Amino acid sequence: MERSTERIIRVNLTQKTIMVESIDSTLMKQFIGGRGLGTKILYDEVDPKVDPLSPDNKLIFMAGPLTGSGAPCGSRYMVITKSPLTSAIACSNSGGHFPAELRSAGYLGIIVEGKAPTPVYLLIDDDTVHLRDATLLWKKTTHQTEDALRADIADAALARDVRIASIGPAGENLSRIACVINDKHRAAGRSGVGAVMGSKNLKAIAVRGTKKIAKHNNDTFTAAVRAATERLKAGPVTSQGLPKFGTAILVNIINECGILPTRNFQQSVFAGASKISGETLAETYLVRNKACYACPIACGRLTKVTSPETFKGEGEGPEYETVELLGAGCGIDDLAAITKANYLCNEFGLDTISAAGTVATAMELYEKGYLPYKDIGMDLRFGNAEALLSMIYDMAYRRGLGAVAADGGYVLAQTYGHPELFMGVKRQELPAYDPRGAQGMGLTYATSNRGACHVRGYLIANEILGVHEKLDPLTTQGKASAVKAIQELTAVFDASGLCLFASLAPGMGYDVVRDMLNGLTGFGYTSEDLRCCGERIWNIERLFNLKAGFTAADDTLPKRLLEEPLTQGGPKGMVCMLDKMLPEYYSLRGWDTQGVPSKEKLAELGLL
Amino acid sequence: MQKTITIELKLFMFLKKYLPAGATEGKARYEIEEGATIKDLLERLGIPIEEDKIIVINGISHKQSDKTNAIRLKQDDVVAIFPPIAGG
Ligand code: SF4
Repeated sequence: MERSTERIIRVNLTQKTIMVESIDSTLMKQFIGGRGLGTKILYDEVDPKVDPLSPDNKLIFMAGPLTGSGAPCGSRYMVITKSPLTSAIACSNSGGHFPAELRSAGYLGIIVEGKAPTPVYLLIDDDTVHLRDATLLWKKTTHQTEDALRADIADAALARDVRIASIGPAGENLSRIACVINDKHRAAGRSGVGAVMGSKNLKAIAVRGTKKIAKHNNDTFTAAVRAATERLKAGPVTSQGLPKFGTAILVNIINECGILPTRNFQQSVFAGASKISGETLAETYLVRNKACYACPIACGRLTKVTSPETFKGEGEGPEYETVELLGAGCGIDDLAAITKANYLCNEFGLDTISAAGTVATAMELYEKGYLPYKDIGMDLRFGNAEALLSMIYDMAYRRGLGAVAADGGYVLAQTYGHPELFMGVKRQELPAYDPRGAQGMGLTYATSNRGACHVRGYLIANEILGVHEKLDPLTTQGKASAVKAIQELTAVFDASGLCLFASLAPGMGYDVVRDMLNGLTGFGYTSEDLRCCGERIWNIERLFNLKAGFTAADDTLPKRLLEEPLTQGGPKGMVCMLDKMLPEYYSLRGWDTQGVPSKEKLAELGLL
Repeated sequence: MQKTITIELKLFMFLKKYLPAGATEGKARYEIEEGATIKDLLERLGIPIEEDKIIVINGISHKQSDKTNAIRLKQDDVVAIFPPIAGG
């Protein structure tokens, strides 16, 4: 099949117009797709100083060229916009089946502009694209929305086959920690992308695609896919650990290493860790594992809690970050309660990491006496599972303390006069690794373009887990270059449409991605070309943030992590020595001491 | 008589089957001769040396390697052994 240029849908909700545009192939080659192309479009079309919740902000859904192509783990898309949580670039990744379906309908992505006067949803059925009234879907949870949307479609086959991405009440209520949920259980979680969708009155996108994705060279593509699949099947993490135990398997090892964030990062070892581990999940609530589109790993967890009554439910997850932060992070060791909290977050469309971080902040404020009982009407002590569930409702519906907490931990801590108790970077809550015992991860957090994030340079793989080259977690030596390298590789995975977990198998690096991309696109990339694309993506994100008003002062960590030594575990006595890594990192990046890319670097990357 | 030391041993996931008799909840106090190395410990437990694994000794993680194998155990060391895992 002849390969033509990639196409995107541009929807203007104010003007009610829908256009299909083709993407310039030079741009495709430079930015690959997904995270790269979406960011480039946002950078070119949106003023970085725009109010994120105004109609002038754009919301970009972008898959990668490998998404839906049959490449193993080619299941991902990105939601890119200016974040209402951080005011930096937002770029949230999700898998499932919706992204591949969008590709099969013949599109790489969707650009959403403006604001609809009343709630709408976008229905895409191959070449037929239209906006439909979503008044009846409004106020529904993400699960109810999927069911009601199908019921709204007259054609039974279409109603059955569409894949859906939607927001829940949290997005409608413009919670700055709201996410977009697709396929009921998969979250484009971070940075409040759900609030931007809510601000546009866009409740959902439903898509059916029946086309095949054309390949530049079927034979070389198929051979490259086979080689990649073999690597995933041979890798112990991707063939055994993740399928059998899911990501929550990390709870025990991260705890053993003394970097398991506990009670809002006040401690780093949690006595109840084994009760909330992946092994315990497998023995208790796991029904079976589940895969995203074309994924041989299948790390997803289909779970069901049957008792006690208050925690009853079924769904997917919890994943490691979720179980850790809703659990140890809030001092809770009741896996049924955590699993329920995870279900609620998905149904309401709240990011689990930020929701958990916000609750942990509230709990510390409360225990220290800064958050008076009369303001909340509940006992918010660490370990109180009922309080956790109640706060999740409140954040989704902006009730009670949720009126403030819906905007995340930073706004909450600031409102009650103690911003130092907020554990985040660029106003985004931290993931589930204490960087005092994994120094490079601290640099990753501080320099991530979307605020605190673990998937913008997962150095835990090297520092703790020994995937690929093992690095000493407690030293700062060599970390700047390791972080830079992993940031670029990650950007390439994210732009290609591959799940990052595929990179956890031995040998799954640039060469393998290059062969698949070349077979598909015919661009003839070298591995170094791809690394350059990764660097280009990193730098254009940085440029967006600089224009939005960010400075080097924002590349930092909470004071607790920089100044208060850990009191437990192997890394006892350590702080995160960010100041020993950051200058070297800037210099390796070709940035000045203020973190601004030099003219030469931008010229080299074609970004001038 | 050879002097011995006692360590705290924890095995996880697929490795639990190598736990000595009397272990509870994946843990055991384990006696081994003074001067024994990680390699000696793995051999004693029957854990295949050549397979990748992560060995956390007193809260610091090490990848399975010759260097790690040569580490000598001390009284009351806490040794936790995991198959290769990752995620996040
Ligand atoms: S590894 Fe997990 S998250 Fe990634 S594509 Fe496969 S099932 Fe989805």
